[in-house]
Amino acid sequence: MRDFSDEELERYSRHIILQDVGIEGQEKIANSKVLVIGAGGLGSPVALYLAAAGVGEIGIVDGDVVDLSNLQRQVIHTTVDVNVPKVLSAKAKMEAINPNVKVTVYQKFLDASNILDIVKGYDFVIDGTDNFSSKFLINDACVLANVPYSHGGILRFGGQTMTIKPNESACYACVFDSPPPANAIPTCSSAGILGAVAGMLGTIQAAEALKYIVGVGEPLYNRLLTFDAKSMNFRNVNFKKNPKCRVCGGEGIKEIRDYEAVVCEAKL
Amino acid sequence: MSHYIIPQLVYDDLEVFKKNHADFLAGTLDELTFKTMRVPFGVYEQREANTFMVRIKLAGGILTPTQLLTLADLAEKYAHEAIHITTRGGAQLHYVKIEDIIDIITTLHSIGLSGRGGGGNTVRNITADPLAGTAPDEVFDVSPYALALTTKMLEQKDSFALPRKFKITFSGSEADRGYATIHDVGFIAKIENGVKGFKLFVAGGMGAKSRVGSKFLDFVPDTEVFLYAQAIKQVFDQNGNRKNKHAARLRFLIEELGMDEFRRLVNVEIEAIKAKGDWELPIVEIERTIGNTESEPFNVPASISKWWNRYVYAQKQAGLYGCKVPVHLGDIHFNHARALANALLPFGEDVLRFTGDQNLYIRNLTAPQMASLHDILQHFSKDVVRPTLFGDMVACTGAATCQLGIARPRGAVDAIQKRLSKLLDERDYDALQGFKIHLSGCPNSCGKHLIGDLGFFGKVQRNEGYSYPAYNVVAGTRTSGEGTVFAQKAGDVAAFHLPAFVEEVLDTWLKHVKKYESFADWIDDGGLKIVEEISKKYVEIPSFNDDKNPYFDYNAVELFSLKGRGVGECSAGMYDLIEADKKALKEALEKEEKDFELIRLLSARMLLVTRGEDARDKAGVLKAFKTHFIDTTLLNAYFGTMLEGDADEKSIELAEEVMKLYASMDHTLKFAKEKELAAAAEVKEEKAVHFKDLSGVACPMNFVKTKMELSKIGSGEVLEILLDDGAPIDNVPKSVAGEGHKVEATTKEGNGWRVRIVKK
Repeated sequence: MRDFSDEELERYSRHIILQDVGIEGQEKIANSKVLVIGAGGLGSPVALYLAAAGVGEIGIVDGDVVDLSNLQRQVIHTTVDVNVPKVLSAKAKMEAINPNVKVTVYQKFLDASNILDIVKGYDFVIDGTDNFSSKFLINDACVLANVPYSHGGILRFGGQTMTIKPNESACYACVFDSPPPANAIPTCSSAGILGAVAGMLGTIQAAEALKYIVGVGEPLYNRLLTFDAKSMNFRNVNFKKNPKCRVCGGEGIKEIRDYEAVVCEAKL
Repeated sequence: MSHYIIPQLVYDDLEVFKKNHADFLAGTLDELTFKTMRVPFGVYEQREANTFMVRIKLAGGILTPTQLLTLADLAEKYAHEAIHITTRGGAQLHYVKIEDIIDIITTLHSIGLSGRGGGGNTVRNITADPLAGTAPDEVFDVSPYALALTTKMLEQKDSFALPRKFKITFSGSEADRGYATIHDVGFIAKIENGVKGFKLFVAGGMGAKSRVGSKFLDFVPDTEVFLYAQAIKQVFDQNGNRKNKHAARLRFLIEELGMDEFRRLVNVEIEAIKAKGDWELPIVEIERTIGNTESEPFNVPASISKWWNRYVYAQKQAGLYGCKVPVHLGDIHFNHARALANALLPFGEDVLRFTGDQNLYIRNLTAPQMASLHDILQHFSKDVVRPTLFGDMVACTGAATCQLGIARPRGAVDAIQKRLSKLLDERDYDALQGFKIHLSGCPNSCGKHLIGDLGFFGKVQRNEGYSYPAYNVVAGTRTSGEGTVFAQKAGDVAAFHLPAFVEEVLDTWLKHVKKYESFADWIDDGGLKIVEEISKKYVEIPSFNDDKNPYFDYNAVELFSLKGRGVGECSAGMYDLIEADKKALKEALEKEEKDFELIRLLSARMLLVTRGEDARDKAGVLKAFKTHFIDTTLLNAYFGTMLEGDADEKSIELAEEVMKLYASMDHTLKFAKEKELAAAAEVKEEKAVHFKDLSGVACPMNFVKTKMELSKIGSGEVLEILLDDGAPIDNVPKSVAGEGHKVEATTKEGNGWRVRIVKK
């Protein structure tokens, strides 16, 4: 049993008081490793909340630098961080919130060549990417490595998320099969985003990660949560694991390959 | 009003106590828990197992003839026929059986007396000048204040769970006959600008680290007596040392905080009490039924004039007389008590006092009334017909009944009196009117040796390997509101020689008495040296084989030893023994030609007293040493090999090891290694009770830390935590229970609470 210091007991007191978390739950959090892919609109709140919660090790992946247009929603970065690599900017904020957390940075974009090795070392993965090819790549890698993860996506006023426990619950490909054709993806001029929506969805993903780590509640397995911030309607759409799923079905995938990248310049 | 009022709170507490008593008798309540219940009711266990003593509060020593009658009945029925007057003017019933305790307490309550706060860490009996209300030199009568403050203090819940005992007294004049200058809180009456009030002293006391009280304020108006006493009590309650009872009294706190900080804290409490209100002390003057004081001038009959001159004094009220009745060692036979009570009944309620010099005072009688008591009093004790010197001797109960006692001062007093009484025709002891001889059986000052003209406190000496009882001598105290001085060390004497020593000191003093105002003046003017010289003649005793008598204490049937002595504050007596061996051992080690046999013997013997061993011959010492120090693994088995055969140079190693062990000993006579072993054994034997002190930890961190502690222990194991009063005790147990653990018990402890939790 880990012996929390007085500083830690006080820092995490509001977790520990929760009957469903308690000392045991906090200890699980402290012993967990979470990988956050993307240090953007979704990755910002996720990284901040996971660091604050005391997740023992957090890996954060992003190959980009901070752009002035990011700051409208990517709340982990500040104005002075413009042109600073996103992972370094994020790491500094996470460590400032909670020096007890170990942050590992991957200043790169993930592809078929590197994703599996990175994902393997973590207990849970957050998908905070802004493009379909990355989302499918992450799904493939997590299924292959058998690492649960949270899928998330946002556009304009809406968002969607589901939590995937590979080989047990429906995976991203069970629901969507494969990336949409290039012409179906919103054009860069139409792909705006209300900054707060990124925060809404990112915090849901962070909560899902913590629920999974502590082992409490019902993660968003086999259901896609969607919401529209304009009407503020939330929906759960239920799915079942597809036995013939291209990725996690009977045949399934055996190796990682890259999907054709169609990245919007607007960068969600 | 002539006695204090027992508040409902005390009656309620008695109901709880009755239940616990029944449980204890039925065997469902353990001894230790019961002890914590009975001691605050003034019920102590005597040295003899299952024999108890009941202490009764008499505020200002005041009791009525009716109350004395009832005490006589109780003494006859339950207490070996005697009422004992304590050294703080209270009453005690000794040799009481546990079955009778409730009957006794209930009877006491029915006559308005209580033992609540008689013992334990409570506000103790509030005392007053024995002559209060009658003394010609007094500023005003302080008795009503002792009564009113007792009533008020009994009403306060916090009076019964202090860090240590808390003693309050009142003196009527600068002569400080109430000893305000050596109490935790002492008031000395004075009038300023026509307003009644008191000079206030704090943090005096005798015992470990005796200390004369410091003047806290030059004037406190009489209406604020409770305000100050309560504020000081609250500061003590909140800041006193609860961990170490040997350094817990108020005098230690003041030394720690410094007077300025202490004053600041008291003033904060005063504001808080004022804000709460209800702090003014209602004073009800004592009613007196006084006979016709304008009777004919009274001529004292020659047959009683000796007694009259020694013991009767004219009160400040013209025509009224008071009288001191010397009570031998404070014990009154129930027959005598009953006879006196009956004789006093017609004279009103305020005619009696018990006093801290373990005597009884009669007051408010006309001369003929007083004279009429002479015959009854003649039988009261043999001291009545002797000079005051006899009746003024004070002794604590000593090792005969006290678990802490080293020597037996009561027996010593008997022996001194026996010797001096043979000299009554030759010596003018009446010239020593007021001379006080005080004895304590150990360094604790229950016998008030530090405020005797001649004082003694018990110690152990050793001759040729045999322990014998002895006393430290102190001499020359002064008591006054202007500056009290304790008696100072003036040598050592063997208990066996005590009577001869006292005789010689008194003879010497008689030669000087006319030239000096007081004994203390003589002591300061060269007398101390003389007393020291005299003591040197009386410290050594004959060899055990020539005369065994000096190796027995008075009234003891067994050879003197420390066996049966509890571990208490007065382990000091043992230190004397250990230090003596240590000194001898060091000398032996420094000699060029080393006597290994002696070194081995001293090394092995030095610490044996701490184990209650009193082995005398070499074989016995080595055997006991092996049992207590080698077999217990306190010392490595390697040292055990040195105990056999002839001693050699390895004995030096043994000596060094024993010295090291002694250096690691704490004041409870435990060695560091011993505590480690005990701790290890505890862990091994019972995973039993885990403990976390969360006092001072606020919500919700106290709950968080409780969860932390619970997470470390297994299901079914017990965690005990201490919580503060208020929000913590209101919330944490609920939250703990809400998580499914079992909260087994919640008990008041000090200012806070102890909560016992069984993990789910």
